Amino acid sequence: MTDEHLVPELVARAQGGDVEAVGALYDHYAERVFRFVRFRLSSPQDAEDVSQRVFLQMIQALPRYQGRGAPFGAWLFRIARNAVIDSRRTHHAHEPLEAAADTASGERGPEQIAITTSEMDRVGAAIAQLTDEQQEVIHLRFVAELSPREIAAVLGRREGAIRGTQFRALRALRLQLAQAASSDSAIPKRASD
Amino acid sequence: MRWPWLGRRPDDALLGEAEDLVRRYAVGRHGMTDDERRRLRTATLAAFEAQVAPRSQRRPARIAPRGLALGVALVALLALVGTAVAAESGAGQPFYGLRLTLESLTLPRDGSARTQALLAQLDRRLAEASRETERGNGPGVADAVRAYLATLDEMSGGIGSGVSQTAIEAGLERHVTILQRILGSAPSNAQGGVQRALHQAEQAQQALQHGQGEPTQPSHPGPPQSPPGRP
Repeated sequence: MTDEHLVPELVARAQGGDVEAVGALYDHYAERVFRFVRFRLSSPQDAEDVSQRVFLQMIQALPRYQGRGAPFGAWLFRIARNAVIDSRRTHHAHEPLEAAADTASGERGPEQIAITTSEMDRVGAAIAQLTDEQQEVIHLRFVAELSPREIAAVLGRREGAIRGTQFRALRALRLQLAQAASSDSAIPKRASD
Repeated sequence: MRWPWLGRRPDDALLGEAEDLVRRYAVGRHGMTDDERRRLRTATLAAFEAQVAPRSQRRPARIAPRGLALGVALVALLALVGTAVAAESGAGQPFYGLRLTLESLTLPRDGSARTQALLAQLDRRLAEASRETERGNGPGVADAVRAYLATLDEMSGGIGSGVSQTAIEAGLERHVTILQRILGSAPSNAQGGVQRALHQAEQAQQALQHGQGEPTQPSHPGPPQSPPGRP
């Protein structure tokens, strides 16, 4: 992945028509954009379509991007967020987000399947219990790997508010996972007995 | 027990570990497959190249006026430099002819102003011939007297009605004197030209004195020119 501090230079080169710079920007953000979109949508196919739409919109809007505004990452994920909202509004208005957490297993390679254990399923289920605002902040913070400042720029809110939302979301997650752990703990204990 | 730390640590540590768990969850789930990454990358770069290509095609159109402007500026610069160089070029030097051409472009179109300007040109040519004679520069003297003859021929084409004949006669008399002096000291390779110039100046002087209304006959064949009517 490209160093974050090189992004402004890559953006400038891309604005000048440098296809290699666009490739480097894609390599830098593709995984995070895709995962963010994938977490926010239920269908893998939709996630790929929307991700593609995000990068196409990035290319179209790139000449108008100005570094004086939001950081490029925030600018790109604002595009991604809007694309997700459009997609959900158009095609999946009634599909709950929890479905997204339940449809990933079995579609990845062996290594990723190994990671997607029941622990991961529980975390996904716990996240799905959060408010939509908290989910969005969690996804932007830990899936998209944006800083609170960048998230504030994406959502048009203050950085302090983002930190507060993140704190409340993690606290809610801890409670959810603790409850899951306490219900799970009976099984190992019985097993160890 | 899968999360033994849950419910047994201070709140900050619990949040920190919950955060770590979410991070691992986020990375471990919904990653791109190689096919997805490749497809998206290809589509992205293709779209970018398609968008950039028309810009590249427009670029020559944008550059063309710049190139034209640059060309015009270059020509103007060369003209300026050429003019400056020519203005400093003396008789016998490479840009002397250009200097004479530039001088002729600045002449008034007609009337007494043109005749007076031509007389001034004749004076300048003889001054150059004198200077080159002192330098022993035969080609320079020859150039200057050749230019003198051309200007004298041109003046024979018409004398402005507002110019006094006395002034012209005085000028020609002065020219004859100068040319005689030059003839005595000019390099040998310029003698012929000085003699011709002296002869033409005397002819013009005589023509004026006899009131023929035509200062001189052209020193070389050329299209017939109608002299203006003079009293």
